[in-house]
Amino acid sequence: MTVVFTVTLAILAAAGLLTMLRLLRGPTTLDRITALDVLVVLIVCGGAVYVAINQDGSNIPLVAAVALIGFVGSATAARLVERGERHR
Amino acid sequence: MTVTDVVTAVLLLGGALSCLLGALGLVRFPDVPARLQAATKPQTLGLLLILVGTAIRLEFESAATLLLVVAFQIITAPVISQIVGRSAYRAGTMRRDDLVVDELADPMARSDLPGPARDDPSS
Amino acid sequence: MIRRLPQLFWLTVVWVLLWGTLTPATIVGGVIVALLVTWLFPLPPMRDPIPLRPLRIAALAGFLAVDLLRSAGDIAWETMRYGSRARAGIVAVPLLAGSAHAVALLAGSVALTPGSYVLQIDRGRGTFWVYTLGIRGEDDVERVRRAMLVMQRKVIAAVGTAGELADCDRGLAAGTEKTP
Repeated sequence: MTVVFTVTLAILAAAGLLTMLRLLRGPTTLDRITALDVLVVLIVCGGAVYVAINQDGSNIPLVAAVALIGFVGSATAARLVERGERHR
Repeated sequence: MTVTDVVTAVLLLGGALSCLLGALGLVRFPDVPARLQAATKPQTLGLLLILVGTAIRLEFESAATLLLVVAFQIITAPVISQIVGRSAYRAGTMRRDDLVVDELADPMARSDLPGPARDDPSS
Repeated sequence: MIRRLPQLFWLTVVWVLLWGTLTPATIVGGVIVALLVTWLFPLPPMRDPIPLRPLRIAALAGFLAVDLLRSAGDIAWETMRYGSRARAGIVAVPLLAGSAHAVALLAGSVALTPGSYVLQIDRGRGTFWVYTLGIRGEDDVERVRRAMLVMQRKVIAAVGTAGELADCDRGLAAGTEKTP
């Protein structure tokens, strides 16, 4: 099972690096918001794999909290951009 | 390896691959709405698979919370893509030459004008 | 107060699931939190009742699960095959759902179908616009329009009223006549 977990985490890390590329490159704020949202999902995935490795549910609240805060953050940022565009 | 282990392995690896393909799309697609598609769908599927793969290894009480996270993701992903996508269209970051058809362009311009346009009786 | 009961119930269920333990303490805590939330952030009262059809909702959920799988595959294919040369289109679709919750569920469902999300909804004009990835010609436009009508039929069958369903069937028949 160790192999499976290692490979899963490696793939997730690769996905994270690609997402970082988009985050740095932009070019618009909306691109960066999208990339950040994906990054949060990847972090939640990583946290879930950690829970699966230890078979211990005590980190699950962390996973749930990150997922929820990620949504609130992305939605707020996107709405802010939308409002800014309308005022321009 | 028990049956649970095999199922977990398949779900975790499948989920991770789905996430990777989504990230690849995020890098390769030409404009925001297309990237948004890559960001929402494969990511939602990936998260779903990974969380279910984790949940089947745990006792029911912990698994319930994970399934709640899955539900949150399925409810919230469309909301994000909706807001970001609409802003992208309004802000003009969408690459018009990549659009094969744009049936919104006309009504969007007209919706700024006052006056109702109730020509569809089904609404 | 009676109208808020289902809302209180669901909020309590979420709270208990978050704690992951079914004890009197979490249930009482959940009820208190639910009361606080509904008192602080009251939702506008629902004007039209939601007809709940468990079987239809289950059918819709199954359909969406398959759609999510297909859309992840479709987008992976589009990424690998076309990448930066990906093409898309915006398609106008007649809006047949009338009630607010049906429209909301529709928009959410569209976001899970292959390469699509709802860009704009105009209930006055009875039209919504769908952005779809991977459109390459007129055939694709009609295919997307038809798929969206079928999706609407499923959503309305799940949470719409009988009147809406009849309207939807009429619209569906008209839509398929237009596109042989």
